[in-house]
Amino acid sequence: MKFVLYVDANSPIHRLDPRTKLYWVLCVFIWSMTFNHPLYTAAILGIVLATLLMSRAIKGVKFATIPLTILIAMCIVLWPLFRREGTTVLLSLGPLNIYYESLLYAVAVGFRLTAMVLAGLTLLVTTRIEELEAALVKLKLPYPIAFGVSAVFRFIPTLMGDAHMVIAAQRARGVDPLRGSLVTKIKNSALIVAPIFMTSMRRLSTLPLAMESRGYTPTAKRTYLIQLKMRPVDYIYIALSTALTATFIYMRLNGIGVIYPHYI
Amino acid sequence: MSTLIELDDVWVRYRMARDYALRGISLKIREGDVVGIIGPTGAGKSTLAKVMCGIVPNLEPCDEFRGYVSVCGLDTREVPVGIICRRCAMVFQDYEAQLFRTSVELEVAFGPENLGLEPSEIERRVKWALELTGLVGLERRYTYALSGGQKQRLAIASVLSLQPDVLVLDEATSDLDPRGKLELFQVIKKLIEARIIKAAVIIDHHLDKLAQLANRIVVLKNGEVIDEGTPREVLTKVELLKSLKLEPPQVTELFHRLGHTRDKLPLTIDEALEHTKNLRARKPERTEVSKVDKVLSLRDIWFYYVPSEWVLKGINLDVYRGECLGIIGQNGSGKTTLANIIMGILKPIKGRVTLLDQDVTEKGPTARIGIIGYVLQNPDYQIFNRTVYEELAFAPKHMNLPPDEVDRRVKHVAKLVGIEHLLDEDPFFLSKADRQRVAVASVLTMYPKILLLDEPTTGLTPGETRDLMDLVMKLNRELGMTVIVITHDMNVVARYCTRVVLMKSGEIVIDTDTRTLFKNIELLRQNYIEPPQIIEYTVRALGEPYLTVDELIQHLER
Repeated sequence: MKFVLYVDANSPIHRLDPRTKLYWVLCVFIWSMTFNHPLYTAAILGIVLATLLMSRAIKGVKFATIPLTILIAMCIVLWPLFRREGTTVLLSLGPLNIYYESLLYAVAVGFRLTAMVLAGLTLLVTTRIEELEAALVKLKLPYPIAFGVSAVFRFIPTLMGDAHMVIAAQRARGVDPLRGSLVTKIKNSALIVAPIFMTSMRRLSTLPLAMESRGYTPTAKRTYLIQLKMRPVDYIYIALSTALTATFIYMRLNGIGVIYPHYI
Repeated sequence: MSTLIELDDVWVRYRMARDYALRGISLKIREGDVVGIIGPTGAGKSTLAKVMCGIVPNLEPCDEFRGYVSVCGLDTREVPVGIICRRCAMVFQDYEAQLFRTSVELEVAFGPENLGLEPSEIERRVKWALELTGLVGLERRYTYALSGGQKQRLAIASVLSLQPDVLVLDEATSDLDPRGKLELFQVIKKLIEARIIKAAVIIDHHLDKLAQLANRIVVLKNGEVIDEGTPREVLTKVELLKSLKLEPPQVTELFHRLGHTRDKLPLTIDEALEHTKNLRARKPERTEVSKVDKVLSLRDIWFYYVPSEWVLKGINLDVYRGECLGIIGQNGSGKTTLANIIMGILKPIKGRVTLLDQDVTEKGPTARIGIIGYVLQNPDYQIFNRTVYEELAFAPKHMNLPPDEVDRRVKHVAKLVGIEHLLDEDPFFLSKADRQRVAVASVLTMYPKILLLDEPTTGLTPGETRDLMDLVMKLNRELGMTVIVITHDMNVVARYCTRVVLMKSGEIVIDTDTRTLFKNIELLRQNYIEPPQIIEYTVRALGEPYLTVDELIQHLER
């Protein structure tokens, strides 16, 4: 059982400062929102995929293949039903017209969302949670927030382990909470949720005691074991990302890469 | 020697509690002290530990806190725990809750980071603490991926890195095998000799281990100190300890029962051997393991979670009606996986499981209902109903039994287990020992023929362990229930099991009767298993293992 996204490798992407990677993710978000032409959003998805390939951690995102395929399919099916504008009618279903343009737009949105998800995942498969936490601290986020982020990642595996044990215990008593119709499943969900909730509550009540017992005082200044350092290559990546952002926005302002100029 | 911690007439009553948890405790911890705190459940041991670190009254809500506690001159009522812990820091029993960082290295660094130390100094302390606790090489491991024993070592390491003056351990080594526990105790001893730590306070049930470490023992009962003195003074009071349901060192108990006076009672095996003169005993009868009626049979079981990383490698095991089989082995040797295969929760990759002459290899847990009852280590995983009654009625209801039969079974089992008075209670608010009894009872209402228990006694006191296992053996005797128990408590094995299977890396190393197993102390040591004191003593003194003090005394020739 593995509940960790991080894939250990020594790639150029792994070696980047987590702040650089955070900035890059932000840029990918802006880039994908800039265009709504499928060729252009595909190009941005291409950049993300290339980065992912460079990170040699692609196996860490394989689990997302099916959900992302479904996401693209849903976009292609649903968007043409809502964004009904254009000149070329592709299909007429009674009062409903499906336009060629709206189909293109739908594909573009599909690629856009995929690029955004994959960019986030690229960050997570190449960055240890503790580095991410250190980056958040360096970016002047209050420590409790940064700590909270990493604590979530710390306790998810524990929670999943608990769930496994609980299900095993129920099955040993003749009830399988994962079997049966949807109604039975919903009814049975209490069988899993209640014990997990109790166990977690017992644990969480000790957590603040344990933290303070290790010298934690919310107001005091603390130091950090992990020291982040920006290297020249980080600045190159940041400059490159910034330049691309500027270029892409300039292109959009000049009407390049869009199906519907008045929509995002 | 200067006083580090001073308690003066401390009274504590938790919020909503009817009774006081501590009643007028006065105690001094001086430089160089290693104080062992012992007592039955509910005596106030944990509360006392928390008082010393200022957690009570600062972090745990109290209706009443009277008296004065000073830690290195700091009045604990006036200073936050975050500051007090730099002087006096505590390791809790529940390791899962006190490990909140993602990696081993960061877990240990958390304390020094809070102290505002330079990164280079933090790094030095992390390395130092990991070396002391035997965790070198795991720096970048995720904490959740550690074994129970490793997690406990990590919890200790992450408090050691604070380098407090006083270290408080509240049953902080309960998941370690006896050897690991002894190693850690020796580390603490060395740290105190080197004056890196100035004193330690240790709450622990293993009095034979405590005897080798502590220079002072404090006995608590109902929130009061009822006895205090050197280990020799306190641990030789065999009758007192037994009345508190504590287990005095077995050799001490033996010589006490042989009529030696208190000043001549040994505490360790070596001392006992020195005292041994003309000890002669009849050979214990071989308890023949009946191998007639096979109830469960595993043939060539192979299993993995990740392809080619075999967790079980060709297990062959037969279980016979009416026996009590112990399954032992280090963490990660595959014991729990084996239990899940037996239960049908996991299906073997290869091999055959036969239950009462039926092939159940491909069948799930439902095919085993009413035949095997499975009790997990943590009772909280299987308790989810609002009352104890509903909890007990849950399984038989799902077997579609008529309501009056369900009711009959609930009452029958509740009586058997001794929880009749708790039927209307909410199980969430019961003590751990009672929750464990409810968990066992909730399985028994299915009237299983085989009871499978996975580490049922972790976190229980010796008294509670005995009560629970006595109950299980009562079922074994009176109902002819076959018992399979996975455990690392060798006292449980010696006292209750007729046959033992020792596992190592997914294989069975030995499958033999309990006496033969304990004869081979070398082999046990190789597998990090420490036999109970009385067994090692009798093997060395008489060349034959006697499993309990009672057994030896029955066989003595006078």
